[in-house]
Amino acid sequence: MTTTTGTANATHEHTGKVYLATIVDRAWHWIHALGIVLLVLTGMNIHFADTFGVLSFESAVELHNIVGIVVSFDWGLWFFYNLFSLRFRFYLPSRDELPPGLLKQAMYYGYGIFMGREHPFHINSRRKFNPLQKLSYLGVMFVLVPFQIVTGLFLYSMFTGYSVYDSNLSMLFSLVHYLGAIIAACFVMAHVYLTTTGHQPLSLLQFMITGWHDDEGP
Amino acid sequence: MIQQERHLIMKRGTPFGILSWAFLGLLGLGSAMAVAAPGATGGAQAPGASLQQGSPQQGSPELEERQPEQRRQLTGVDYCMACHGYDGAGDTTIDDNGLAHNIYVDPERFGSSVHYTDDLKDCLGCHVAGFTVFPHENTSTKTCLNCHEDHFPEYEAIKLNLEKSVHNDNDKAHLDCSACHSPHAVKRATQATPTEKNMACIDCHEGRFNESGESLLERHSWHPMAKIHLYNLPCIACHSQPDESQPGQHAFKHLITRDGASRDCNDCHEPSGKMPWYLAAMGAPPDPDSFKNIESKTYLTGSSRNSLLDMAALLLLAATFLGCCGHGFLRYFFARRRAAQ
Repeated sequence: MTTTTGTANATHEHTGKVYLATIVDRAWHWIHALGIVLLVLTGMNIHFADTFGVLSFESAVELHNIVGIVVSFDWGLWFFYNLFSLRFRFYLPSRDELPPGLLKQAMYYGYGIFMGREHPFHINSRRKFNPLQKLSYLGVMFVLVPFQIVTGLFLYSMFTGYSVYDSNLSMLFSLVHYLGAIIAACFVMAHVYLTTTGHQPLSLLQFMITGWHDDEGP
Repeated sequence: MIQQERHLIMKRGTPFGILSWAFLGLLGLGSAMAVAAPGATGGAQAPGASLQQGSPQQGSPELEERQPEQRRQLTGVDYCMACHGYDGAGDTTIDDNGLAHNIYVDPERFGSSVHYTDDLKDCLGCHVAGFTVFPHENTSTKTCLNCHEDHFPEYEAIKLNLEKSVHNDNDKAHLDCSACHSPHAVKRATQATPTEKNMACIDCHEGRFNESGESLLERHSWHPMAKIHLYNLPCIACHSQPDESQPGQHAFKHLITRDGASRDCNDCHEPSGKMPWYLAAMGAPPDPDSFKNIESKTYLTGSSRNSLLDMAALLLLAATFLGCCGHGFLRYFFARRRAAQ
């Protein structure tokens, strides 16, 4: 049925689908997805303890700490897997994508998508992400998530006694960790919504489940 | 409430009351006999030494009529503790304020109270008349302001608020300072533990004025960190609102009832919250940045809470959500229109 399976950049003989999300890609992605949703929810349970009390405060803190550490290791999986498999090339914008490609993609989301136009950037074995995706994923995975990991682990180390507790630093770090979490929550919402912008509303979701993308192009 | 309980309390003139007074009289007589025996000690262990003084006598002359040595003996705390330090002694009469009059004085609490450690060490310093005859008659006791007259302006302000509160509701209770702030247990705000401070409230609200019948923890179970607050903070940290015009330990004179008490973490925990005034009441220097005063290894939920920041964050989340929904709706709308064409 397929020319090659389980190998990056394989192309399906009949359907034209391209295999872009390996099992490791999908594993770290779904661990991250579940982890960040849990972190946002438990974080809200902690931050808005008086109004958002789904779990007890202690349970929310414990779950938040455990999931935070899992997501930290998962980020490490993403980083080293992409580094050693040379898949970071998918994230790097080419010279003609910044900024013309960004504007083109933004125009598509702001106008073309309503008119039923074609996606401006077709996905193939050389292009996994459109320019907006590249920029946002670079921002999230190279800046936001590491920032949340560093601030979260620092807070965790202070409260577990690995580093000296400082109430001023505690307040500063919990504040910036909170701000990062808000941005992460917004990203998750937008990211989930944008999965519906494939050829079919569920085609991008299927891509992240099966690994096969149906948008082969030039 | 108080009416329902009056029948439980000893009153002079009732059979139960007569028996109680007889018991106390026997207790005093027993103490006297114990003291009269050479080398004998006994009775309740009052602060400091054991009971050593002479015996109380029915119809004894007033203190002023006695010899100096006898007067010295009669003013000792240990002497009075023979009766009042006995924990079986309890409510005897109902005072004018509607509360049962409890004659028990906890020797341990009194021994560490400021009225014992700082100056008085002498019951008759406050109980000025009628207390050297047994049973005490025509008594006269100093009020707080007899000694603390320099606090009169603060007292007036506190009194005004007290008169508006449930603690001055004539249908329930008509309280004065000592009804809650026992002069036999009073300590400086900076020296009293939260538990000692809370005794002023718990003495009534865990017992006779607990209308729901639930424990304190049950009544506060809505709080996400009920235990840590309940057992480490004074009740007034939540059940009062500081008066910024009066910083310090008198800032918390506006008591708030169950329904009015704040259930918002920000009320204390955000930098502009009332924690600085609470900390000032605890003896910490007033500081607008309350968290600088928290040196313990305690995670303060809400330490990153700020009403404006929370509002901005929720608006951003709502805008993202509505933006996605709006975009999706427009896509659907235009897709339908294209299909119709």
